[in-house]
Amino acid sequence: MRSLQSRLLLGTGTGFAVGLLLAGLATYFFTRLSLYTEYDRTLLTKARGLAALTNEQNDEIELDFSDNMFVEFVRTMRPAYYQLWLDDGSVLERSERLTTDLVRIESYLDEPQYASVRLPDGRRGRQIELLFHPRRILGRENHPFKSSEENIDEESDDELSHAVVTLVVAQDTANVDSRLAAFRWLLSAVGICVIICCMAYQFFAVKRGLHPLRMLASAISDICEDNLEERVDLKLAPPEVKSIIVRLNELLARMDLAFQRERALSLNLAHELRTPLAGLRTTIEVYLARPHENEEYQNSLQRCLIICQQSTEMVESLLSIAQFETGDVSLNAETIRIDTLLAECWAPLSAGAQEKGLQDFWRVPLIEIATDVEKLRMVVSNALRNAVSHGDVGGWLNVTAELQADTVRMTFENSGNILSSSQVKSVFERFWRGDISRTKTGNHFGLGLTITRRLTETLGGNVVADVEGSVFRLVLTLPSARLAVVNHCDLGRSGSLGKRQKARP
Amino acid sequence: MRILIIEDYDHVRDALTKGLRDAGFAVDAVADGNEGLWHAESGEHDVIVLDLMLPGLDGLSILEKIREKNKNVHVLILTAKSAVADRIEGLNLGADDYLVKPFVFGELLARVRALVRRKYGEKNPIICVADLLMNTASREVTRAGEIVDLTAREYALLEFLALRAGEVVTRTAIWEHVYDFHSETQSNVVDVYVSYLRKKVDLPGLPKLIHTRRGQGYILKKEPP
Repeated sequence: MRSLQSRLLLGTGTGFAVGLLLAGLATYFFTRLSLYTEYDRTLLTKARGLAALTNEQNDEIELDFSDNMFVEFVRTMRPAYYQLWLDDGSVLERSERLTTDLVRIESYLDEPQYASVRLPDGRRGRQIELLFHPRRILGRENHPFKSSEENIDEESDDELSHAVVTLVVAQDTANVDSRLAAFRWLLSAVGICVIICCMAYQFFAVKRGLHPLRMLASAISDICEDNLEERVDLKLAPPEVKSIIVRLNELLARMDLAFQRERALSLNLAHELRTPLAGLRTTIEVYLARPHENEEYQNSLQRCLIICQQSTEMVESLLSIAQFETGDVSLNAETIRIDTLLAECWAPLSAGAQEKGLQDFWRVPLIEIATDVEKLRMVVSNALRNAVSHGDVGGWLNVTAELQADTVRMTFENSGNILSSSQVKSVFERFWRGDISRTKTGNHFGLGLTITRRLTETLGGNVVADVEGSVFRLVLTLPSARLAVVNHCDLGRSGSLGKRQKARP
Repeated sequence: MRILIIEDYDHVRDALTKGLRDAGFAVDAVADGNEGLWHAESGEHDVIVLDLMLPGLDGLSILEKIREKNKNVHVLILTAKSAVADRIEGLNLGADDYLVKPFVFGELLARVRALVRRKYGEKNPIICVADLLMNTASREVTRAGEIVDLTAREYALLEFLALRAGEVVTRTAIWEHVYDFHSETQSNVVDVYVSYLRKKVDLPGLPKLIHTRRGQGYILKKEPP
């Protein structure tokens, strides 16, 4: 990828050079045209002069001038040439220095034709070809006023001959050519100098013009992972790149947030691992400090085992999240009824819900869904567990499912919410717990909803959380369901979802 | 000596409680911040082992409230938060010591004992009353050069009296600082244990060190002949 500087230099330099070249060529050709036009005029004057001296007298056409009248035709150095033909093609006259015929070109009466030619001696030249009627000169005896001797001019006659004479006058263009050559050299030299000066100026101007970009690059390079809170100053950005800098700053903000989350994750992870380790270590040290009864040793080992199991759970949760995030997960599609799934997931939680005095409400039509049932089971279990553990004592939870087009939507609501609408955005972050004061260490790691989200996305759906006063709501949307029967299920007391409940108003 | 443990993680709390009781301390243990604050304000504890991340009320808030009430109790913060900023914050708010999880129980025990000594103005781990020597670090007691074999409770009682040697210590104070409320009823347990202690410390032929002050309590000192 070429640099901006080289692009600009090349582009503007080429444009300028081409423009200058075209201007130079135009100037040159215009000048050339002017010079040649002027030259042609002189040729025409000369030719007309010669034509005026060509007369018909007594039925004979003759050129009434001597070479001395036009020195250029007689000199030995760079002579000019002329030649006259009669209308029958015979040569009437030619200049002294002309040894061969001049080239005739097609011309018309009173329309002189010009051409650039090679003169017989090889010089570059220009010729004019002129067709004309010679002037007829009448004799004294034929003069209508012959009786009078006064004011009779033998040549004062307006009558033209019927004969047509072709006159070609040719002479070299050495003067013009030399002037043009000099002009070409001048133009070239000036042009080259101008191009060089302009390129030098362009280089400086482009470099200066790109200085803001270098300043920006320097400002950007000062930002690293240790100071991601810094932003690129928009004042450094010219208007053309301002939008890029704005986007860059937004990207930096997102990266900063991501790094903060990563740091927070590391801290949280360390914290979450330290506490069970402390429990393990203290238990072992205390029981090793002095002799105890076998039963006490067994109890201590049991405690250690529980701690290990809790830690294992946390590590497994983290590993699952990592796998979901990397896409290292296989899915096995099976079909299951939503109400059956909910009942299975609710069974181990119902006792805890009863202990808290939670009222449960269910509105679950008969919907079948084709998905990875085990993963969906984890999602639903997490959602229900979240509702039960965060529901307030004596509160309620409400579960509804509905079919919308090709998606199944499951909503889990519970009372006892204490999160604000700004806090609810964080519920899916790892180790985030809305209120540490509500959860004892070791009971929740703050990973459940993170796993819920990752799993749901893996299943092709999405999950959102929102709050409405004291109500917390989790909405799962999953793709593709086959509707079996759209009826509200009759659960009954022995039904899989416990006692029948009316839907919460 | 009476220790209050405010720690919500069951396994740490239970292990600490057992370990400190085995070491002869009377221990009260709670899992909730609000409950912990109530115990701290209303009880007579020598040292509070305080976790920071607690349900109900966090540890630093408890610490602030304890210091606002000018409670003369030493606080050892026990937490997984190890950053220097966290340590500084805890100490600046009035904590006397800061220990990061996971920790060596022996170290925690040594720090608690050091805080107990500090509370009673005793810098030397070896307390000397006449010919009675108590090494609070090794928990070895000698009288006239002979080792005195004491139970954990007896040692705790003797240590309490020794740290306040020369002062009259009331039965209530002994009860509050030495005995677990949950495991024992007050009644005359203090008198019973003092008599056990006398049998082991005030041996025949040796000057009596444990004296009764009628209607007041007990005092450990060498009475002038």
